[in-house]
Amino acid sequence: MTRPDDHPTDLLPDYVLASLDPDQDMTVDTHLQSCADCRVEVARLREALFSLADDLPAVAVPEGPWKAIQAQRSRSSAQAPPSSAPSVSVRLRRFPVWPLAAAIALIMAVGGYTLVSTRSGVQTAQASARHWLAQGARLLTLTSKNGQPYGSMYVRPDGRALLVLNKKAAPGQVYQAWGRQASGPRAGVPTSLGLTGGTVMEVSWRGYDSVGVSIEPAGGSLAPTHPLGRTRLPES
Amino acid sequence: MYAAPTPHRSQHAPAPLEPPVTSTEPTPLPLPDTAHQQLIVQLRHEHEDALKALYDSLSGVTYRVCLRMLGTPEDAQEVLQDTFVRLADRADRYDPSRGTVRTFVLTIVHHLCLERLRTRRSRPVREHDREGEEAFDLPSQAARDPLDAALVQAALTALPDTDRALLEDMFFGGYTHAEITARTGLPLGTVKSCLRRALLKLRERMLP
Ligand SMILES: [Zn+2]
Repeated sequence: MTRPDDHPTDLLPDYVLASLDPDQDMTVDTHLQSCADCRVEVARLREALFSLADDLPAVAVPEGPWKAIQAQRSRSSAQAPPSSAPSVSVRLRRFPVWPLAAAIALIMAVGGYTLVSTRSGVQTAQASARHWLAQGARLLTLTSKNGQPYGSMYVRPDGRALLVLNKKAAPGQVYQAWGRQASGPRAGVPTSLGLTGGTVMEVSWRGYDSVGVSIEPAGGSLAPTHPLGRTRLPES
Repeated sequence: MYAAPTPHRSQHAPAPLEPPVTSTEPTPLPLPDTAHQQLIVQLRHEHEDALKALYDSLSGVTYRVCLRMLGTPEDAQEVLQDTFVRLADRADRYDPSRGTVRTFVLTIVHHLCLERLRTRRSRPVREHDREGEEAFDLPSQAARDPLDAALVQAALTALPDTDRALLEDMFFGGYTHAEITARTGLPLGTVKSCLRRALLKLRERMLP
């Protein structure tokens, strides 16, 4: 906030309260798109508004709702694909228009990888790579900023990519893949594509201009903490 | 902007957070939200334990909001349930730069309660999403039941308690500025000033 005159600071409380007239509202909207300081202040004002909830009297939560949530979740997961391959189910949820037959075929394939990987991760990765190359995937080397290779990426034109890392992550750590757009309002903002405790991970790259990999604590992170490197996707 | 994740948490057994807030004092602000954010990541990757951990941590405040807004335990429990089902479905929409996980959850429950209030008041639901997130939006037609005349008088003399009462009326009661104007007889400008003062007072509790 070095030049306070440039920021519509006085309007932000009314913006959060929906007190502004449409013109002012649009002015603030436009400013927020390019001003991180004011976005932070809006977030704080919203936190302040919702802190009204902190002052409500304590009440015991009955047990019924959690049981109902569990029942509802298990009903919906019974209709969903098996959860042995998290990156697949995440992608399915994000791209629901993907044809069902292809989805099933891929789940079978990745399920297969998982089974095989208990015997030999290296064999699995090699078999997967051959399979992907046979399907017309393009091979890219994953390299760090200083040019050190750390894995391979097989990019299929249908929007899917197979990432094969050169070595397993340390115990308690996982590899997490990130997609980034080169332009637009979310340019450079990493979006999690999936994670693996092994060396093979399938992701969907559709809508992104580059794919990166980072090492994260088990469970993954909201943003990359130990990035290994980023690879630009081929122009389609 | 992103908070550092908690390292070395098991992928399948999220560490318990602070005990459920069901029977404790209201949780102070600002909340350490990194544990919640870690659970959101796990939820995105479909770890069901993460949903339970988030529920244990946030169902208390969520249920309090439901009860305050809807009044009956039956409605409150239904909306509590809907809130966490929706949280699981929309975990990938959470953006840490827009606020804490706690406020993300409260935004969901607030929106669901407003929908119910509108249905009760037989009003159409107004879509007012900012970038896919339920914004803090409110009904659009006037109600007729006026507030206490003393409250109106107090508002005109700008007493902090009155500012707060009007803000709660808007937030928990789901009334628009125009509705508050109709309920109180206060000029619209006065209502806006009261709401603004009340919000800025709450803002003072936040750091920095
Ligand atoms: Zn600004």
